[in-house]
Amino acid sequence: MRIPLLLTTLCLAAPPLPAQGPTDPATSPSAEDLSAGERLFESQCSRCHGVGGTGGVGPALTRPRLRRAPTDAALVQVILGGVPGTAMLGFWNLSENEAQQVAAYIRSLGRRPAEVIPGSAQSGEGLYRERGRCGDCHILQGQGAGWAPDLTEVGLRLSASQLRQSLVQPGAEQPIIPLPSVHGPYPAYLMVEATLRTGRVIKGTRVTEDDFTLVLRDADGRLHSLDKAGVRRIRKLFGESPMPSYAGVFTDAELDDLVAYLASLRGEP
Amino acid sequence: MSTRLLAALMLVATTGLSAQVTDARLRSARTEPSNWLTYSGDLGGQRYSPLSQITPGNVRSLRPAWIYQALEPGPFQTSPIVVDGVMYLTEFRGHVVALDVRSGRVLWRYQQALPPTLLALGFAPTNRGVAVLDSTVYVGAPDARLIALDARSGAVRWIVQVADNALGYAITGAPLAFGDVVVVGVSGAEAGIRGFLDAYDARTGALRWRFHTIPAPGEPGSETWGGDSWKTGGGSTWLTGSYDPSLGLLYWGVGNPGPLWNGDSRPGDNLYTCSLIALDAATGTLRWHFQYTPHDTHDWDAAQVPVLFDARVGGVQRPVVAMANRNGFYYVLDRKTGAFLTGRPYIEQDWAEGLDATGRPILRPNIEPTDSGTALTPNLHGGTNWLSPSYSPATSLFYVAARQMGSRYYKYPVSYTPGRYFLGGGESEFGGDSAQGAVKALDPATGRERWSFPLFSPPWAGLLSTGGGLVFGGSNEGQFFALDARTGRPLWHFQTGGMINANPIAFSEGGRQHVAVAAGNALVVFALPEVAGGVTPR
Repeated sequence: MRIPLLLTTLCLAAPPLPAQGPTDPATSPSAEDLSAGERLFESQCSRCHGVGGTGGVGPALTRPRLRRAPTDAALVQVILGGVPGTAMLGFWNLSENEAQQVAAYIRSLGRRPAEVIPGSAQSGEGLYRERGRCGDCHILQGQGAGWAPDLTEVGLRLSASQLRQSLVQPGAEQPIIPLPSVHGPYPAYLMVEATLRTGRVIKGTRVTEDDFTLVLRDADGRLHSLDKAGVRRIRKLFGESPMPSYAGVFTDAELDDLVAYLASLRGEP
Repeated sequence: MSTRLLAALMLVATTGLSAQVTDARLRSARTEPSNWLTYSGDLGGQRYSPLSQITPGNVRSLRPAWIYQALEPGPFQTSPIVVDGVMYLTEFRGHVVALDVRSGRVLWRYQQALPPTLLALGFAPTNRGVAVLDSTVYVGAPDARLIALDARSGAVRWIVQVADNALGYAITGAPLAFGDVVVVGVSGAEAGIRGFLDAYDARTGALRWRFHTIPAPGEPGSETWGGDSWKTGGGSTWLTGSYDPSLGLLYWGVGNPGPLWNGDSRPGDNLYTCSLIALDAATGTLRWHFQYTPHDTHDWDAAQVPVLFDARVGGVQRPVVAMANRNGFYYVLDRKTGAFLTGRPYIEQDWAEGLDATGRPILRPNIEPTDSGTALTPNLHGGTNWLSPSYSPATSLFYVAARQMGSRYYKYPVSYTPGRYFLGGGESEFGGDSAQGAVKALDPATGRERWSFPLFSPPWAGLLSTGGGLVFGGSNEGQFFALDARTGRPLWHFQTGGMINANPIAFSEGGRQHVAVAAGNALVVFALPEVAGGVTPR
């Protein structure tokens, strides 16, 4: 059953079509499109992709080529439809025009001058493998140990300055990977100290958590599946990391080399 | 044929014949706790089961009796109805399934035929359940149709197009049936609809009355809108309300105004958005209203279940209607007059100093969404949401699944296009470990917190209290749990393996109390184990 009166009034209230015709803001954005795209990006996307698209839980978008969105149309599709199997959900609340404006803004981020990364990626790779012993904890292109985040695509996720900070002050930023099977971006690899009712203290990185369960991985790599009923106190150690700082280990130049190497890791062979 | 078998067959036949849910049965639903006859278990919205077989003493033995796997993947938000051995539930997109409650086997299925052009602006095409009256099952469809099905076969009796889906209207909530009508609300404020609540003749589908939640020029309340803003003023009625047969009053929560986050075009309080309306159930005329959030710009719909009970407030025992509102405050109103009796926050919020003597919020400065964003608690999903609260007459406590989460609210320019989003802003919620949840027990007369059980994340599951002294709830991380209704102490939990995004119910089958909840894409039905001799441990 329709409501003829309502229908009529709503049609009258509709704004006229834009005079300039059907141009696509993703490919030929106006200044207004870019500014609208920035506003939408900051309110909808920056929680995961960082303010200005500098990266965080989601990949940094400040690059000319986006692996999952090689074309403007593909970028709009990713914004509206998400990336299946990842934390990138489709944005149902955006119109196609708004998605195109966001896409235009993201493209503009990629056109900004690239970060200057002074070091040598080749020297950095040597540091990663030998003196840094990074592979004792991290996995990279299938090599190494999976205690710590997989670094195969870390150059996509973090900017050079974020990479440098994570080497010098590993606990300063929240870990970048969200917990699996949890509603919302609760960080994995968060350091947690659990004091059991028996008095035993278990410290490790969080693997998963819910109302009744806390699973930690300790420094030896052992999993501890804890029933919270048996835990007297849980301290979430924001700002701490199981990763040691490399501030005194490497010189500034060596850190530059390591950052250059990590920044080059884009998940491509 | 043995006499025993014959007797069993006769029993089955008798049960089948008695499957008539009369208005009298709905009014006294509480007196037949083996069934769960309405969305909330009774017309008063209490979501309380008097069943007392499962207790704090034996709940740790609770285990799945059977599981139903939904065929349609998607958020599974159904609250089943149980009538004389048959369970009626809905899946994502509004498909209806009738199950044998003893075995969990499917008796019939009604598959929604939805157009490829289906619009669902502001929400997924979800469905939260059916209503049953006499021998008919009523279900809303995401394309804004109301469908009446024969309860025995699932065959269609009639279909009514409630509103135009091309303009963003949709139905996601369970209808409420009583007397000889079926009442159904609509979604769509995110698309700039003009909301309403409808009552249809239960037998024929003819419209009995329509109440517009946004008054037209000249009608009372129209002075709270500017210009033509009422035409796209929102005011959805998307969640099931409550009914007091003795007063003949229908209580229904009304959703947010449109456009959502930019209120510039709609100066004024914007009645009756974010309000509770009390309608004469026979005529649909407004008896009173109470607005929780005047001129809302944060999406704080009053789409929560209004809970009816009697309480001693201010030294006087009286019929009240209580709501734990999305804006973070708990309110108690006089059920006859709508007079504000008491209210207080049940979460930590930072948008209002408190409520004045009339219940109107005393606003803090700088709470409006802005171009650069305004940080505020709660976030758009509120201190709670459509997830049902529960009131237990046994403990005289009001239970609410509370969400503690803030966000940054943004405001943009906006213009109306039919069938498109009409938002005027956005929101970026504060995630991570600062976002938490809790099951809270409130003194129903004052809203003071009696106990709180912490949840890892802000919940999307409702609560059920029982005569056995338990409160059942669920979490995003898949835990279904039982708390001591008096103390909040956790007594039992079960990892269902999927997000719990639904309200639990209770019923009895074969002399055993069951508790059911949708989790992931499964409906999990729990009972105490049967022991030798068929006696369930007490």
